Amino acid sequence: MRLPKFLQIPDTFDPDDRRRRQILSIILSFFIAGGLFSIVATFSYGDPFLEVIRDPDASLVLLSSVSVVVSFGLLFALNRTYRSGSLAGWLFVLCLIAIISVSDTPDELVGRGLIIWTLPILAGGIVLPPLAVFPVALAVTITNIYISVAVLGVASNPYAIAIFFMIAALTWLGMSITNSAILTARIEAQKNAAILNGVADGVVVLNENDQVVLANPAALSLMGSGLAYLVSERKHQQELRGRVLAFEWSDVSGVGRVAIVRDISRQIEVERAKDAMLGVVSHEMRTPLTAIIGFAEVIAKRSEPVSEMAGRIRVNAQRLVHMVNNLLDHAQVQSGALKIHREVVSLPSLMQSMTNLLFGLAREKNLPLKINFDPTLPETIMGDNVRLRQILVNLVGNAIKFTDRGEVSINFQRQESENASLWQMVVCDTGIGIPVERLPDIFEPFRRGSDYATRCHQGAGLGLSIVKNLVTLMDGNVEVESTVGKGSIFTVTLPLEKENI
Amino acid sequence: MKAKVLIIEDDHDLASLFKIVLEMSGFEVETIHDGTKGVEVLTTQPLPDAILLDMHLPGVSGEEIYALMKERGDGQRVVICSADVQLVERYQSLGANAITKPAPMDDLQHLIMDIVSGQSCVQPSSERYEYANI
Repeated sequence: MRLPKFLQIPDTFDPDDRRRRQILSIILSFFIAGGLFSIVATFSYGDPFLEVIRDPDASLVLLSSVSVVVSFGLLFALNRTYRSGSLAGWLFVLCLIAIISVSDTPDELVGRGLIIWTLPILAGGIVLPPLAVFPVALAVTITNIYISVAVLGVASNPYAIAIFFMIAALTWLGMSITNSAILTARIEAQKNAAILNGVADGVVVLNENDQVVLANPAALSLMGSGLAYLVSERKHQQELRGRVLAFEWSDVSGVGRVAIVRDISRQIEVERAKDAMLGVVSHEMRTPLTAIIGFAEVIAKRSEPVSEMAGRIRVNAQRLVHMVNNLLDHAQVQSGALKIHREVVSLPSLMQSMTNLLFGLAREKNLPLKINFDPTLPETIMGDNVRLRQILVNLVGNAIKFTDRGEVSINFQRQESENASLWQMVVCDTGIGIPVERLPDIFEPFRRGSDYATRCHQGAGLGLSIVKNLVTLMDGNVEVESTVGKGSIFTVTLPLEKENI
Repeated sequence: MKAKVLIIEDDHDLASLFKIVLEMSGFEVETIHDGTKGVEVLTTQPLPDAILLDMHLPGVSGEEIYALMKERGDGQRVVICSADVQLVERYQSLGANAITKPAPMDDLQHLIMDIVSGQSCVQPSSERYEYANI
């Protein structure tokens, strides 16, 4: 409820005091309005002004009406002045007692009209702090006793006095409960406000009609005057004055839609800078590596022992190239720039190209590569030659790298499930294996299966992360089973799409 | 007479490596280190049998030189050589001869030999892309 401006109390340090004074303002305005009405009514009572003055009854009503308007008008002004505390409230209650004391004949006031005395107690409960109802009840009691004993000369009614204090107690109880409920709600609201004002993210709340009902300072500073327009678009990303804003939407029942707004310009800038840096680094590394590998190849054609040394230069430089390629692939996958092609893939050639590349490596370690080909698999499928080869080479390369004795076997097999046709690349080794606790994060970038492996084998730990990302881009999944000391099984499952003829 | 190969490559070490390798295969090799000079040689002197073209060049870029050669109908004499994998893939898909740095020297030798002996390395499917590109 929004009060008219003349009834509003300026902000004070004590919100309870402000609330009570607000109520007093309203009550006083009713009294003043009543007094004014009474004055007007007296004058329109038929007789002109002089007649009213001469009529003792009418002039008494007029006098009391004027005094009500004047005294309550003063109280109203006092109540509105800053930091007057509950002074106006006390004066109001005393005025009420005084008015009641002269409003009727004394014997009515201690007899049938006794109920009227509860009015100042109830009013005191509303416009004063809860405990103040007891002094008010005491004041009422004293006035009542004074009228009974001093004016009428009869004993005062003890039941009436008891009732005054019972009403005071009930009012105190009721107002205390109300106050504590209001206090709890206010603390809660202050907490929420502190959180809303403190968070760096913008928070905007919209009601069912898409009107903005709340926006925190961060939202205002992020979006300024464009706020209402920007949230009405309901997008997840918007550009505003060179900044990129991300919007996170959620429906909150009973409230409406809530948007969390974040400035991601810096993040995007960092991403771009990282991509640019990787691009430059990879280019700047490839060029000298090309020269190193090329010259080593030329020298390797000479006789021993020069050819042997040149061969080693070449192998090491190639390892660097491999790492640069992996870093670049990783960056591409992260930035979403890597696209999966759809072309005809010959599975035997895929296997062949992998063995061409890794046969030498396996032979150096005396490891047989066992290849099994499921005869029910078609020879050609649809897929991405380069990326499938990369996945296979990474997995088999790892298997060879982490296996010292035994064998590495590679199976291409068909996997029929209820609603999809799938195929699998399964790579088994008899190597060092991966501890169970490390299994969940072996597909994370820059991780390796075990510390032992990290110390003994080279590599940036990007291979499996790239495999995982590529397989995910192909709508497939990769799983691993492993026993330390016995070996690992990597299974890549992909949708089987036959070549369209 | 020996077949002539022009190498346009700004990295002096790489240029000399390519020169050594190709001379070992029996080609007559000339090297140029910037794009402007490359355009000058290509437009004023008799056309070499094959051109090994780097993409990142000072002056006129490799892409512009390739566009110029393609316009003259000599696109197939060019072997694009770049460290930018995506760029190489894009040119390959457009039917150009392109290799990634680093490439095995044997591959480079074979590619140049194929071009000189008139065997184009273009896959039949690339015609389609060229058509779409017009």
